[in-house]
Amino acid sequence: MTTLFGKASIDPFEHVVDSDHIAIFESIGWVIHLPPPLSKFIVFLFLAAVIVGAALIWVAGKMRNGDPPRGRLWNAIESLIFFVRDKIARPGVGEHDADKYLPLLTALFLFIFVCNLFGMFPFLPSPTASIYVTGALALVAFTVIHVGGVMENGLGGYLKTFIPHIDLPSPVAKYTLTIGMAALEYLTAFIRSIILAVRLFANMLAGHTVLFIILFFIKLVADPAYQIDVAKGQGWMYWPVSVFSVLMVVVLSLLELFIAGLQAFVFTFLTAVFIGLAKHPPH
Amino acid sequence: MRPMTLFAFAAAAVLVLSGVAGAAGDPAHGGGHGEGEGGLSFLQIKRWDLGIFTLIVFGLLLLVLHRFAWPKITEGLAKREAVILGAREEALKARQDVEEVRAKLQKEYADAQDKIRALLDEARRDASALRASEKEAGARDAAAERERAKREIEAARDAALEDIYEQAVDLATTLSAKTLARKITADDHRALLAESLAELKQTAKS
Repeated sequence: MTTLFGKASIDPFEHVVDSDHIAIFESIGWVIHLPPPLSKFIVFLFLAAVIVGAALIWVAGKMRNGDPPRGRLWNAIESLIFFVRDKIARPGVGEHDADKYLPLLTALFLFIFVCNLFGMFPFLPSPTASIYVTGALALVAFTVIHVGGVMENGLGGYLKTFIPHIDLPSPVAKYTLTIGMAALEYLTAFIRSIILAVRLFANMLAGHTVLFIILFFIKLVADPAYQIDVAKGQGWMYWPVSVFSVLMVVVLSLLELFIAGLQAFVFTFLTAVFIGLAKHPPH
Repeated sequence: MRPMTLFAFAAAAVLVLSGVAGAAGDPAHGGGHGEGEGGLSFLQIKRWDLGIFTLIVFGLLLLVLHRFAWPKITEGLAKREAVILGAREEALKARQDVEEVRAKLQKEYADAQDKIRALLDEARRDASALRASEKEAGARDAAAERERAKREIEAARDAALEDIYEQAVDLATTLSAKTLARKITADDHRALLAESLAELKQTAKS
């Protein structure tokens, strides 16, 4: 816990990170305590999987006969599938292998998207604000990327794709540079996946934390437990600060909504691109 | 240098670098922030099981989708593709048929136009021929009528002249008789008339 402005202890990440309870209007004591080993992220990870699974199974049943889509939900889910196919899988992996990776990429995109969207509902957490969740998803991406590369090129061939071709007159310089560059390339293979995890986690955590902080301005001027010195005896500050905070949160929430989709897209698209690069490395 | 040897060197370098990075970030080595209160507490280092749970949930999701969703989606997409391709084929065939019908209609229209043109030409020719024959018949009739009228006029003129001659002879005879104080016999009269007529005709012809 941190101390803000020398007042009561608050943790700006408390509402964003994982916990063993789901707090709904904490001030009136609406808190759902979860039995161990459950945590709210575990619950919402499970819920995200159920929502994605149910949606895709439902739409699969509808699509089975080859009928054209009807209704908003069917159209919406199908358009997401086709979005992944046409804007992520095919441009990233390549036309030839795209359909093979479409199930994984679709599940990855929708799973991350739903996890991100949870955070947009009041009282609900976004599981992707945990480095372990995004790290696990990045591990899946890492495995798929490199297994695909090995299967396409063979182990030796795939490892060879990381080694740059450097032509220098001096053999010492040539081998030194080649080893150094190859080491960096191998390191990059890991770093790429780590960056996938960190980017998604950091965006989700930072976004929701900012929303919390801006709303917390209201408490900083109105709640005696957290009130800053400037606001003492200045009751009139409550309204302008509240209006400002709420308006800012509305605007930033819209931005956060966009970021929820954008980060799901970025994670999945980069995974697709890395798969494509692993299977068909540039020469 | 063989690729595997290079890989071994590179892997060793990666391990060394990873080790250095790990040591730099490990609180036990005094190089980073603590994982407990403050610092990077939001990373929740203690909840590493969340990663395992994520892998399990996502893995199960993939399995369920692989079993219950993707086969149907693939089947549906294949059917839809077949329907779309079939519809496209039909549309192309229909378009081809329409093109053929249109070409046939155009040909028939062109033939009909030719026939109409030929009929019009023929009608024009017939009309010209008819007009020419009518004109010729009209001219012929007019000539015959003129001839007939001429003849009638000549006959009327001859009759009128004869009548005038007769009256002139009678008058001359009467005058002569009165002058000679004697009666001319019928035979004298006829002889005088014939002679006068002959002279008159001779005079008219001349």
